[in-house]
Amino acid sequence: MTVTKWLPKYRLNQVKHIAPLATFRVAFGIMMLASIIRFWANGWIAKQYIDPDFYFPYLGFEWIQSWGDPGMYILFALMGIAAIGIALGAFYRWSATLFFVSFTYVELIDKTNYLNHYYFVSIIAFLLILVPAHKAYSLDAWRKKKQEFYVPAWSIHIIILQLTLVYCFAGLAKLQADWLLEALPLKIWLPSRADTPIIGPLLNYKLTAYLFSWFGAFYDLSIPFFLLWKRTRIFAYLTVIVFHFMTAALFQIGMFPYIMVVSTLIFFSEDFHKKLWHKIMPIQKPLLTHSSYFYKPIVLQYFLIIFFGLQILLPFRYALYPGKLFWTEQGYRFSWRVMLMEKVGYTQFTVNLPEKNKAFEVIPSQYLTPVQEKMMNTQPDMILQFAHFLRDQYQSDYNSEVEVFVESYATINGKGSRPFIDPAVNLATVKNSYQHKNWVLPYNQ
Amino acid sequence: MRNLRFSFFILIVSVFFAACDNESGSEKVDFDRQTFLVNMADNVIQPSIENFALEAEGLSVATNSFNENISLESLEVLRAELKEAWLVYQHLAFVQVGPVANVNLRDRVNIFPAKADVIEENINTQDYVLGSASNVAAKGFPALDYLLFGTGETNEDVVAYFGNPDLGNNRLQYLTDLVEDIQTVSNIISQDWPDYRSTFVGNTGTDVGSGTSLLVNEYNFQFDIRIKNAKIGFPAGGNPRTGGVLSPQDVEAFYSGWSGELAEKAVLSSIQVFKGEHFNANEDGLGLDDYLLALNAKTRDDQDLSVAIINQKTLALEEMEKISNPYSEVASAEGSQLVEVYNALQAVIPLIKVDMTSAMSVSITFQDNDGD
Repeated sequence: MTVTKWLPKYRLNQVKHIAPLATFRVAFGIMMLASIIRFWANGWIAKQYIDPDFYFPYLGFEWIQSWGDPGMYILFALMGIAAIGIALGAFYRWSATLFFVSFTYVELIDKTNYLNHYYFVSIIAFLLILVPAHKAYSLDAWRKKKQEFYVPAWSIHIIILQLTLVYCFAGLAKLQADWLLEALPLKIWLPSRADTPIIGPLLNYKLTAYLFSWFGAFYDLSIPFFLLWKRTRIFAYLTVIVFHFMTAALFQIGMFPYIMVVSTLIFFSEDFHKKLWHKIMPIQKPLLTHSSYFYKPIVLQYFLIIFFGLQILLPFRYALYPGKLFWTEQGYRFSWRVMLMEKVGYTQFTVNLPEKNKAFEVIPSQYLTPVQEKMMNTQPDMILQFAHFLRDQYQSDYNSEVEVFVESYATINGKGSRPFIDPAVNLATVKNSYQHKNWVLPYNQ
Repeated sequence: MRNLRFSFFILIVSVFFAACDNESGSEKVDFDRQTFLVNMADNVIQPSIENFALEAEGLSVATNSFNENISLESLEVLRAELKEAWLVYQHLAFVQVGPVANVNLRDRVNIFPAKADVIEENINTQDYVLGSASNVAAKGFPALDYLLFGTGETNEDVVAYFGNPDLGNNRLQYLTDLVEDIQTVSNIISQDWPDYRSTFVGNTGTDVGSGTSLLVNEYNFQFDIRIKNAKIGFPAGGNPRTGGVLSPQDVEAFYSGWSGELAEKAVLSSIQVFKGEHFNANEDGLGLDDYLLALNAKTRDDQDLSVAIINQKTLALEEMEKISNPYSEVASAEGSQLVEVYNALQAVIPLIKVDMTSAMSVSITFQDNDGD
């Protein structure tokens, strides 16, 4: 027996029917459109991207700024049009590109609004640019009077791979003592939801928190594989529905549960999706044309290896920093750490003008929205950014040297508040970087 | 295959039960937020509103008497009524929810320091709208404090201020308008409360807008910004530990010198509200402290959080009781005792703003316009 026989033979260009990809395209487009409408209707465009006086940009992306009013509305309108374009498969490459760029731009304006599921949407939007999801069942196909029903396997598999990565990393992140041994933070969160209809009273029980924690970890780690396996698929998908609807009922996580419920449909077979399409569209004669996507994808192959390689490495970058990850949050974002901790903080800023013998106690809510302040209070890099903002403000107002000190406390998973940032460090002189933040006090000092 | 799957199942189950070995399965958070909200509504907030309305009425009556007969005696009565109303306000300010929030009680009646120049200009021009933004510091208790104490060196001077042949009537009119404004506020609150009550006790969740969330957020805001900062911190020079410039004139009740009594009443009220103590009777109802106990919330040193909060507040109160002079005098002294008070109050902040909100899982969402 030779070893090579055991190696899975994966061919990027294996011919696959487009149906699963087309379903995904439509579902994703509709979900995005719904998200944008919901966001708009809730007044969040103004609240998050127009009203604030100050934003927390990502390091290196300071050039990304709010377009103000009416600029932000125009941007969201463009995003909405792009989402429709994706759903209909109209001018698809342009639509997908426009959606990816506009969505990602908005997300980069302010760290406050970072959510793993926005990161997920950005990535999926990017992948959609690459795949020929519009070659059939689309306006483009109708426009060009040409339906191409066959796509290379990679175009479906990268999306499945992406979903698998999200679940697995979310599951891996749960394999730690607080989550498994103490059912934290669910033990804190669930009782606060005891007013939920039907299951509410159960949420007060400790045992429920343990069951949810263990089930959640098991679900995340295993669900992609149960979905892949034909024999368990239906049952797994029912679990997907129950799980995500449950999280939707219990937590304020917006559209994410629904996005996941429709996204995971891509795990279903070609036949399933073909039948779905044939219910709404007349059966068309499949014509196997030579698609431009069946080129020898050497460049693409390497690109995808690097792309997914990076995604696999990013969640582990925290290991490069000393200290407790949940405390310093160095390497916390972009790692699929979802609903992992109950963290609350408090920060008091003091601005000193030593030359003028003046000192001010700053009330952050003068400059920040409640959500911005809440997020900042638990994230050292944001505290530093706000300190620099204050430094610049007072420097221009008083034309004097400025020192910024903070007194701050934070608690993780109800373990008791403790000093967070070193009160003796003048944050005005600390540089914002990806270096280790030695001005964050150790968790157990 | 089946056997294997079964053993796997058994393994999972046994690991699970091993993991929660110490926990008995029936252990639960035993707290009825509905009962808690009802207690807060009926035994804490509503009587506080009633009491405030009563004192506002008393203030109004005394103002009328003063109007009719400007004398040292009627001034004394009016001053006493002002103090009563101001003291009662300290309690109500902790439960700024529903109609109390709609009228924005704190900003409406207690922005200090009062701006004497704006007040005098209003009196001279007779052209003012008390509700306008420029007049936030020219009305409410601090403005009354100025009118009844700050307009003359002696009591006779104050009486003469109102008896002035040229401006006396204008001044009396302004005084009356200020008192009327307070009474209007108190009337709106007590009229609207019964309607709001059902909303308040009906939303037993912890989302933004739920009774619990509103209570906690407003409570924390009042304690941190309006007590620790405004009453103590700002007069003592911002954060006193950093040695900022002292601003003794920024204390609450600068002219009457009641700053200490008002601040002590505020901290005492914060303890009463925290415990869910009935406003009138000395009875301890279901309060935030009981909720924290039910949640088994602990400090870092494994002390009961509710106990830690009450202890620390009591400590702050003891520091305050050591000060007998008005805070304006204390603030200007070297090595001010106010620093001790500030530090004691500041030690409460992480316990209520971090530990308590975290344990109850409510988010801090107060919109702030710091007028003080």
